[in-house]
Amino acid sequence: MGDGFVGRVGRALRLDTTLYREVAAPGASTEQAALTVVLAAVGLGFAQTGTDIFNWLNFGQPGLTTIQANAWILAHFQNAAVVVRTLAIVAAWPVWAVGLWLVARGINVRGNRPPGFWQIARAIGFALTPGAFGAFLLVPVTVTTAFVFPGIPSEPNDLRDPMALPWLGLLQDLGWSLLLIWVFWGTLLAVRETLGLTSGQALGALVTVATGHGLLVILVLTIASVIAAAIGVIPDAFEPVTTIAPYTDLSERIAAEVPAWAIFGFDIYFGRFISDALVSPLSSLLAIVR
Amino acid sequence: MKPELENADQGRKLLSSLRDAALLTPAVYRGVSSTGGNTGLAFLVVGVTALGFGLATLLGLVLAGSPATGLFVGLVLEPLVSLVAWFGGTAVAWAVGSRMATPDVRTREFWPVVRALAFAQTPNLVGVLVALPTPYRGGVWLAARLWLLLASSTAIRESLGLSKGRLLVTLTFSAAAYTLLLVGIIRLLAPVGMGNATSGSFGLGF
Repeated sequence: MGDGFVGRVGRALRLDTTLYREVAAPGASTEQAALTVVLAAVGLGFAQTGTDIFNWLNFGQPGLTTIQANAWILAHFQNAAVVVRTLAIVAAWPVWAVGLWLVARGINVRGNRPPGFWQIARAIGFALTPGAFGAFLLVPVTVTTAFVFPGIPSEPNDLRDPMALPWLGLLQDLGWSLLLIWVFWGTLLAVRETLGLTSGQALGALVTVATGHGLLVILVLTIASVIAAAIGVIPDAFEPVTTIAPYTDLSERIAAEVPAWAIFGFDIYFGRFISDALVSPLSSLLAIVR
Repeated sequence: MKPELENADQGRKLLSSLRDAALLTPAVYRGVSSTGGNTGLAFLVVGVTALGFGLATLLGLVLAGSPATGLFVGLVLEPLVSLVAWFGGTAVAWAVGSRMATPDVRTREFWPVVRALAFAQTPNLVGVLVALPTPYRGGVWLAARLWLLLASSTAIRESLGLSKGRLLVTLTFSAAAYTLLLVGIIRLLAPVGMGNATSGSFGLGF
């Protein structure tokens, strides 16, 4: 079915190592790999949005009135948040492929012909497949809003009051961690199989590319900030954006936070991996114990 | 074979082709762009797939208390706008792609490219999920649009046999024409009160 596309998606979910060599072979469909990236990026965009809202609900700003809390949720429960994050992940795909292609050329000391850019792109594209399950990680947030919205509008709404909230938070963080580990493991296998490396070398290649990617993002955002400050869009290129009250102006809030979403999106591969995969479930567990 | 069985068999084949086209199977696009393909059927495919976003519009306007507007915009206006934008994008893809193609190109004719790009519209069916609430709506809209772009890329490559660089140039011109037509028609519809409804349904106004 679908030139084996559905079968390939299933094998990517099972982390079948033969898949990565198969899709990296010349003549395989790059568009199908790109489609898996798009679907995974949308899923991860949903998951990031859900997780960030949840972490705020669990730990952020106690003492807000119900009306303020509701406004904050509505300000973050936006289509634009998902779209920006998704685009950032889609844009990160070719950047990572270029990075790994450069690494492959650099370590080609044995005289074997290194894989080409498109071969690497297809393999790491299919490795992202599990990210599509991230769509389910918006569900706990949707459930949580049912606890927040019915409060008395002008009175403080302690969001941690209903015991279900910390448990849902733990479930959310565990799901997000599982998703990141799944994607990371698939990417590690894809790099190992496509570049013909050992697992340790593949991990080294990922760390190298992640570092380069992080530096590139900082460079791009710095240049963009300087240009934005020069033309008067923002007051100062290196001044941190002051916190805008979450319930005053929705469009202002989104404009201020879009760069942050972009950083999180670009960083999906590695940057937040360690902190989110390890720290978030522990934090949620501590919230329950507390 | 009895005519009704033959019809059922053809229906199953069509559904199978639509599914494989949505899954970006190159063989489907090569098949429909070969000589002897059914161009009328291709137009039907564009019309039916345009109903994806159209049904989302209908549902949204019914829930907003405007069922009559929903029926007209969702089931008539939107499919028509989609059809015009698709045909414009296809004409540009053919005009640019066939001139850039190498001498051993698969085809330089217009209608095979039209048929291939018609089947590339199948991801539009995902548009029905745009009826989901925020923020699911944004993600689904983006996925449907990018999916459409990838299907169009497969269709152009398989019908014209272009290399990656030439394909990218052709796809850029085609997508630009498609988007300009879509936005242009929505702007034209604005003075008669239909612009907002249509732009909302295409997800441009979220």
